[in-house]
Amino acid sequence: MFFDSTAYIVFLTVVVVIYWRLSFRSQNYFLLAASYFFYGWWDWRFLFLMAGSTLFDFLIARSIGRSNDPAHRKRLLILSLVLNFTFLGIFKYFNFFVGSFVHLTSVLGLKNIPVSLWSIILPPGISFYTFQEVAYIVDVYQRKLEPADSLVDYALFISLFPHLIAGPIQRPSHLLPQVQRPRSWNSDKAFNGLILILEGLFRKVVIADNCALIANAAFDGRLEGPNLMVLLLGTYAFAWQIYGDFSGYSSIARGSAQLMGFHFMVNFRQPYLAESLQDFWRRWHISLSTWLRDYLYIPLGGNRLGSLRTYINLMLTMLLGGLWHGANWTFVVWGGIHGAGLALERLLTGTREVAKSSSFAMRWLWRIVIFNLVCVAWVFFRIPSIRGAYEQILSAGTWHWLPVYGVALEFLAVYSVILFLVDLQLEASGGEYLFETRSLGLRVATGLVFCVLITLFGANQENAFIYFRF
Amino acid sequence: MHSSISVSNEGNTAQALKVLLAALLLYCCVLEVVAQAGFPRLSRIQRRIASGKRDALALQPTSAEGAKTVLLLGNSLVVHGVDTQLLHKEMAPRLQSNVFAIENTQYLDWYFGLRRLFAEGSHPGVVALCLSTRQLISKGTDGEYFAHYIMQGRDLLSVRKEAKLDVTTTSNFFFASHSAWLGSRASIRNWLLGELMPNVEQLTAYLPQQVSAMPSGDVVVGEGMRRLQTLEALCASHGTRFVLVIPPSMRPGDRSDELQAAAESVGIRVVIPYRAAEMPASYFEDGFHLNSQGAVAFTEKLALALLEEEPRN
Repeated sequence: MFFDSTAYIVFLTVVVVIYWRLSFRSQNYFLLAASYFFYGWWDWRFLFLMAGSTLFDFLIARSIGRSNDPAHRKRLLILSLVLNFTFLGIFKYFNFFVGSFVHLTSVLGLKNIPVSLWSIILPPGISFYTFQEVAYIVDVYQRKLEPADSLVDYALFISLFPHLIAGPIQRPSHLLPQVQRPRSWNSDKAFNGLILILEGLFRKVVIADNCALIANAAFDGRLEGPNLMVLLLGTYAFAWQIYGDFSGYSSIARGSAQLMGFHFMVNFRQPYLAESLQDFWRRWHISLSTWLRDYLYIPLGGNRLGSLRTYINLMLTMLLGGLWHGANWTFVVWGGIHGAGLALERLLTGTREVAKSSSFAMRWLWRIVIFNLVCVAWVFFRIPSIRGAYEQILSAGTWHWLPVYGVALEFLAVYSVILFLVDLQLEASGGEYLFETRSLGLRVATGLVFCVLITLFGANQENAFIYFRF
Repeated sequence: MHSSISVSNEGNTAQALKVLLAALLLYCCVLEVVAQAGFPRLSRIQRRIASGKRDALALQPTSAEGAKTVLLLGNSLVVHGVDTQLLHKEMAPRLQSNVFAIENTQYLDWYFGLRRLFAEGSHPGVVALCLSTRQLISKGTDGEYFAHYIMQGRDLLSVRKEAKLDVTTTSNFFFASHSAWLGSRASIRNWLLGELMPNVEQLTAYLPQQVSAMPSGDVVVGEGMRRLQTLEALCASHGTRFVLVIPPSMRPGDRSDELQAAAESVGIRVVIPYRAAEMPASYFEDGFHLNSQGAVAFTEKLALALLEEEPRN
């Protein structure tokens, strides 16, 4: 059930209406059932995997919480981490590693290795709920969090449907207490939630799906490339597509949660207005970047072990962050570009925010540089092979012009500028919601404008949310 | 999580929430009404489709003048490739032609479309379905437009099975079958975009997915025959003769000869007025659709072929 489908709108409406008529405990039971229904909509067989994983981590966390024996606690932590990452590895990376092994052996001259690739279907959202479970276990182990008493509460924390498939990855300390305490109706929160849903749908079906038409045509060779114009069109279109797609998903998720009295962390803060790569990662997929910082970069030593080790840690974190996105070397390269960029930035500027102290024009210059650097990395993210991405980048040396490129540019400009203006407003206000401090009349009108744009200009082709496959 | 806003603000927000919800509901109702009443008036294509359907529904096996009625169904290949007036003229007085074509339609659209036409009272003497071999074996449909304007709501589960739809698409079809807005939103969006950005038409020619390689002869004949037999049985159960018409193609290797031979061996008629790659390239407008010159040539041969297929009374 995709967030931009009619079925989801009906589902959400029914859930919200019933939900607010129930008592607190019944609300949790009902939401758990609704979340499992939502997940089972794709493939009911994966419910068992999620339920099993939930039960396992619930029991492990309780044992860790009760035990005072450090060695025993550590053994339980390792058991949980091994099992969680094994499941993730089997479902997401098995074919990738086996395929890479076969490729490597063939390069070394060893042919006909009797290894067959399995046809493994990736369970939706496994990367997201695994990271959430790991965060919970680690927090309980570090005694930052009490283990949940109720299996229903914990299962709801893991499976609450707005974040289940593509995040934002919720921190246990933020969401679990909300699940465990009664929630009361709050019109302000619900109103903001509704606006977020409309804004999210606008980002997805108007911006992302229309930009996808150009990005797909460019990178699938339908615009008679490769050449510089096709590369630019494809790359910029994909940059706005993935941003509209994922930030749209996150907005709908946050908005849906707010209609039920929950609050999710903000996942995007105008990333294309970043003034450095470090700044970009404070604005892009914040729930993942902070997860990687807290559960990978800092445990690796962070910046506490000297400069060289800091660079290595940065690189490792970004490479693994890249691999998290998908089982393909292109994602590793994407992570590597960001890791190298972050390391280089640190080497050149230390921890100083250079752009912050610059003039207005310089700040904008930095923004443009960073946006384009991010776009170069997107080429590896979008194209399914390193060779393909490399060839596309090399085509920057070839100039060719067709009248259709002008039309494509005009089409892309119309859609990207709208989202850019939305971001400028959010950046200027510093708020969580569009026109947060303006009059309610203006905000109602904004919601209606989004609705009109969604219904009249939503793209025709059905593009699943990109991050659903991560 | 309790909000820190004051009671009066909370009251104002509650009011704004109600206003927004009411406005959204009202807007959806307006969209539905516009789609029901305004869309056929705004869109030239939709007017043509509505008129084609009206005529198709009124068909009886023979016309008032005693001519056997032929309902020619198809997609843009028919819209561009058949000169309807010429076809009518060439086939009279023995046969009376009626053309009902909807862009982007393929086998499943017309199998389920025929079920609906028969159910709603259409009773032509002959159904001639014009599809390429690739379209005959395709699993695709025209999406939500098909769900609203072509299929019957009660066929949804059969559509799901035949088109191998996932649950989300099935539910989209379900909602579209009940809403003119959902059924026509893609067409309305295209029309609006064309009005606001006239140049965009240049771009749309580059947007469709590239066509995959033609499946092997075994696949085309195997799946094609299964589908032809289904169509033949459906038409026979309503006392209608069925003919498949293969439109001209610029590319060779469409497997139409193999399909025709297999179909004839079981008594199903497959008409091929022009063999694949037989028609000159200058008769094609864009490598796929015929231009007016091609349409005249194809229509003349099509009329002859249909007349030959139909025994004299």
